[in-house]
Amino acid sequence: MVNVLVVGLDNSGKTTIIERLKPRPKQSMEVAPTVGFNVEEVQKGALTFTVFDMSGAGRYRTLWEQYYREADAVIFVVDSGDKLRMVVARDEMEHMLAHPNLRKVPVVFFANKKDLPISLPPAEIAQALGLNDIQDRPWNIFPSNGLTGEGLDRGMDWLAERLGKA
Amino acid sequence: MGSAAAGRIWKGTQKASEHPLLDTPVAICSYISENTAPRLPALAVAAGSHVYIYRNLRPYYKFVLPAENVNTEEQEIWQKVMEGEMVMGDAVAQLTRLQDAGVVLQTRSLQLMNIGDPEAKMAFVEHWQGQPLVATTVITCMDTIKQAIDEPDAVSCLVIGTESGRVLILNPAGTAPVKNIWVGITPAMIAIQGELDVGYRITVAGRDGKLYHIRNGELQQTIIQLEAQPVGLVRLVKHVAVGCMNDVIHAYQPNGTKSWSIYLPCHILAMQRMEVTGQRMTKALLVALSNGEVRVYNEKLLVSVHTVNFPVTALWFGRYGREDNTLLTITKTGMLDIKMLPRTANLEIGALGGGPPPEQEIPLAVPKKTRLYVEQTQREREQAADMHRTFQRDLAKLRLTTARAFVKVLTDGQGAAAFTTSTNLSLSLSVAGLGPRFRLTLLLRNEGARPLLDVPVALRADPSLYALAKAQFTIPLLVPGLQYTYEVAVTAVSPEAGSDAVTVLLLAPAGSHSSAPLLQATLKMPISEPEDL
Ligand SMILES: Nc1nc2c(ncn2[C@@H]2O[C@H](COP(=O)(O)OP(=O)(O)OP(=O)(O)O)[C@@H](O)[C@H]2O)c(=O)[nH]1
Ligand SMILES: [Mg+2]
Repeated sequence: MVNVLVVGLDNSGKTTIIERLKPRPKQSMEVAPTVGFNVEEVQKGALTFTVFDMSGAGRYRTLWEQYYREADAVIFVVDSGDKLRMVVARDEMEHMLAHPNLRKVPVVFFANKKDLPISLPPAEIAQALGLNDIQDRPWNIFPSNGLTGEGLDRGMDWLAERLGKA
Repeated sequence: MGSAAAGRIWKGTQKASEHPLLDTPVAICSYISENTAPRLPALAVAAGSHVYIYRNLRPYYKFVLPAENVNTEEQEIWQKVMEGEMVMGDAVAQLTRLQDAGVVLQTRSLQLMNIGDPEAKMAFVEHWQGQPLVATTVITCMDTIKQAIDEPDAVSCLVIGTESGRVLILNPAGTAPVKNIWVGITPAMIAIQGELDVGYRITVAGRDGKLYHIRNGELQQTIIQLEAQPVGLVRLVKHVAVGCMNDVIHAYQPNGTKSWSIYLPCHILAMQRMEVTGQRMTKALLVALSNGEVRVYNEKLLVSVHTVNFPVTALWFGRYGREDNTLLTITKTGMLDIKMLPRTANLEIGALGGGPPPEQEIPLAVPKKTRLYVEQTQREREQAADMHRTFQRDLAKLRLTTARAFVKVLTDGQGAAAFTTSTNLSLSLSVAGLGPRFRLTLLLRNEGARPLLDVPVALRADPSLYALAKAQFTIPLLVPGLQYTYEVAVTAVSPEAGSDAVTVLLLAPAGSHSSAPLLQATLKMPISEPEDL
């Protein structure tokens, strides 16, 4: 059992991505903004992930830190088309990484909504979020499309590999 | 007409659309105009005497300001002159008479009076042929008021200030005024608090530099005279804050009492209300200054400051896209700056270390009344007369010592040689000659370690007895250790009148802090022989 914490700003596509990780018959296409958080279970090879789908809305972001202690991995979802709020995403990410309760667990960044015409490439997002300054934990960034599921496998494979090593 | 006016809509960091406008806009508001879901805001753009209301970014309705009353005589004059019943000369004379009587004439009349050429005058009247004189006015400012409840997406109404000195409140659809309040002075800015159906106040900053108050549709008696023209007006929780051209922001209570003032280091360029939504609701005041600072005040205390590189022309704080607490800043250079308040920002009083220090809350450790204190008090009570006498005697002694010291200062330098310790200068005077022409010699020596530059010298003598060749001069340099000799010719003008003294003063060099003389010496002149005949 591995606890995975899924965070990121509201509307970045967290719930959509988690739906895509479920087996196809269980997926729902329609997602509504999450209220508070949801817990889901997802199978990845031999690993069973308990996924905490946190709401990214401003008033619920204080909930994230309640789950830092249990988290074995973090998925941080970024809306690649939301250039304006990249600073907000960075701010929240920095707060999270600086939190004493979060262990040095691996972090996967999904540069989601890569299908949008205005989306930024992962390298630019990594730059905007200052990811290269993260030295104390494994991290990686993958472009993804939450609607089609494209790119999610690469990210989850990387994560599974990190967790297998530990 | 100059460049075409246009409204630009931005989404995120990109321009979404552009809408040509017929006139230069003076104000823009977005508000909820209908109670139906989804609550999409309408956009109102005030320009000239119209408010253009857009829904879904498409023109929806055009509100036209109601015509003002026109002076009936003025109207008649126009009617007659257009129908040819009155000649041009009479018409102009009548209009002039009206104006002299204090009537504020319509622009059309003023234009007619200003045309010099009689032909052009006729053409002007012809141009207006058949159109009765109506008074049009223009919008000077606009804001919104919530209709019944104070919630972010509650239905609101537009509030408009007009050049003719009125404040109009429209119905939510923006099709007709529901309130028409006569202020008498052109509103330059308005600030609104409350809800239309519940109770509201509108503060109006007039062109005359005064604040007027409207309460539930009634103009109030309280008028506040500002010390300088207002440049910004913001409604806070309990106060209305007005920024003036003399770099001060005053906060007034609804009854007109001033609560506090903020003195700023430079001019105020823009002011805006900052309503922070989040865990704590804070209503703060945003002020953009001419030195590039954008300051945030919670009440009168500075809680945040940041700098923008160009002069700010407008500020707006509120929801932008998905982010609730966003500050939009527009600069003179046309830059649009977007800043978002971090979720963890602290705008509470004391965030920047301002406000009363924490020590203020700690009570002073006042010592208990000791036995010594009690005894002292008792002694004071019993021997009050003695104590008073002792005090008086000491006081008299102190005064005497002071007076003596003063006399000494005054009489010092009364001899022909003088010396100061403060600057280490010595001066001795001697006189040669039998009279009536004398030669006064000044021997000066700088005994100090530093050279003195530009020392002014002044000579004083009774002008009825002595004529001095020069009454003042400057010694350019006094090098330590050297002896300097200066000579001044002194002539006794009336030897028979007796003799007197000549005083030489060495003044402090220019630029020093004291104006007291450095040194003074006085020489008693010998009796002069009479002038040889
Ligand atoms: N174009 C595009 N849209 C996406 C993608 N992923 C998600 N979306 C859409 O983005 C919107 C928000 O998705 P959610 O999954 O609800 O976002 P969330 O991060 O869970 O949001 P909160 O629960 O409010 O924190 C939905 O309308 C999704 O359909 C993507 O890759 N491309
Ligand atoms: Mg969600």
